[in-house]
Amino acid sequence: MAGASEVAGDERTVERGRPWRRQELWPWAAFMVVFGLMPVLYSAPYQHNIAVLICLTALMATGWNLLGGFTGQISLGHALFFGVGAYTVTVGELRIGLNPWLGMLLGAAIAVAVSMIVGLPVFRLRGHYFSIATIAVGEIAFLIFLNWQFVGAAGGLSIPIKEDSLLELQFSGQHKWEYYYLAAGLLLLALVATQLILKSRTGYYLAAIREDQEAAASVGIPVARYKQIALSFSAATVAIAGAFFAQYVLFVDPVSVLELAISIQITIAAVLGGVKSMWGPVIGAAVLLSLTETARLYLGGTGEALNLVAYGLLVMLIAAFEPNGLIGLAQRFRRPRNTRGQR
Amino acid sequence: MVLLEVNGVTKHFGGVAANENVSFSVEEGELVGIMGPNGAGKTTLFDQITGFQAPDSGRIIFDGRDVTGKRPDRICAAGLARTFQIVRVFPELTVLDNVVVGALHRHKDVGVAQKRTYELLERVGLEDRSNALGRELPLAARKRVQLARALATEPRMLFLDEAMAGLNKKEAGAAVELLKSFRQEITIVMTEHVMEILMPLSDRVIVLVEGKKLVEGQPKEVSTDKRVVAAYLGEKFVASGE
Repeated sequence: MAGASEVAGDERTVERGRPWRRQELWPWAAFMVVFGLMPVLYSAPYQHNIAVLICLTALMATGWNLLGGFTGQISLGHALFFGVGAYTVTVGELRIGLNPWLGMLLGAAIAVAVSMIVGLPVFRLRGHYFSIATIAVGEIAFLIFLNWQFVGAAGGLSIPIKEDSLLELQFSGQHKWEYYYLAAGLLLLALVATQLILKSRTGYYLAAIREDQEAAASVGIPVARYKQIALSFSAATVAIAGAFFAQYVLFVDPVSVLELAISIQITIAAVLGGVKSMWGPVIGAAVLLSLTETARLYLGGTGEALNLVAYGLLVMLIAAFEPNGLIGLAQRFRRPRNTRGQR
Repeated sequence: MVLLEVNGVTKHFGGVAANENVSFSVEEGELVGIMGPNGAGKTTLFDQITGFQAPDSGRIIFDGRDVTGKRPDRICAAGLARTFQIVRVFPELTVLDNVVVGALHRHKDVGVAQKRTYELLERVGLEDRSNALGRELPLAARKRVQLARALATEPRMLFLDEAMAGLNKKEAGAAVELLKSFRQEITIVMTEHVMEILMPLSDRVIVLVEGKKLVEGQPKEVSTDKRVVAAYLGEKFVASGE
């Protein structure tokens, strides 16, 4: 027994979180190379637009996945937080001249506050009932904003165009690379935060809650509090994406930032890539937007919505054959499985 | 020193009394067995003591503090851990991570929790399976994971709900040996409906029948008590004596 505990103790002494393993590092390198070079490889303006949207969708899906994938609470109402971020920036700028970066932070803070109000009743439900309740919450928000004159109601609000500046988060260049790198930077921050959470005690607790809430409670985990921590993180992340989006298109209305379709898009990006890995949502967002935009280019405009049919087919195939998403598909071709907690 | 005091606990489900006015206490260092036929209210009693259900009336005092109706995580923090009759390991986590989750309760640092976990896995004989997923293990091993996970929270008292149910004779024997190895360090309350297992292990036995405490006493007294025999085998076996 003494010998074995020596083996266990030799290299793990005072780390705060789960120690790093070498195979965890290469995705970071790949991310840096791919996202760093994307604007160089895709140089046409419309491609830059897609690249920005990939970053924002990946940002949202990464935020969503801490709650949906790692904590197992599938929300279909995250458009609410996207809208809160987008509206906070816009209304802040129009009504009190708030700087957009501060508006982004304020939007994240309001989203966390809203998530606490929403979380209280919604987390009393489990499984499908939880998901259905989140749809209802999202739709309520949609209807409120649709009729709320102060925030422009159905007509929406425009952010006035200013001179190009990082401080004002406005760039008029056709190639949009400033927006791209800022969005990619935010995504990187969200990924780093996610990684740190997953390696900490909180990461273990969220996994335990996903696996079995009663068993989690029996080993001393305050389940409600940790669910709320996951929801708060995901709400703030999605709100930041919403704020950035509003600043990017300089316009918000309920249809463009609060629709159910946005909630579903976030979920699908995460599920397509694979919710068991923190890289799944990033890959999912990249593949989903590349495919849908390509499909729209070649199949759209016919009035037959063939691009949407292709999109639906893709989702069905993933759901039916590989619940672990593209990452799960890729792992089938690699060595068996990559268990958590290998020595 | 009395570690746990259960006072007049009553729980009804609709018109059915799952527990009625159940009282008992457990001394520090004891191993107390709770037995009774299926449906006697053993699991309901456990659920109330460990915070998974609130009693309709009655008090539960642990270590001098009133823990009646407190949340399960608070009760775990107070030093009372449990296992489940229907085994609940985290199916998609490795054996190591299952137990680390428990160890993190007292050790925030993941490295320290892992170290503590390897020691525990060694004690319950699962050190070779630390990378297996929870769902891949046979029942006997999953029960050991549950036990290690509960022990990892470093409780003063352990509630084991049907620790042997579903095990074959050899596995049950090994589980008994394992429990014996822990009983010097921790106060244990266990339910079990196989008398041959419970009797030799327990310092004291409590018999529940139809939600009420029927008998309490030394294993020897209890196993020859006419009311207990009647409850287990039926009235007609009582009179014949041998």
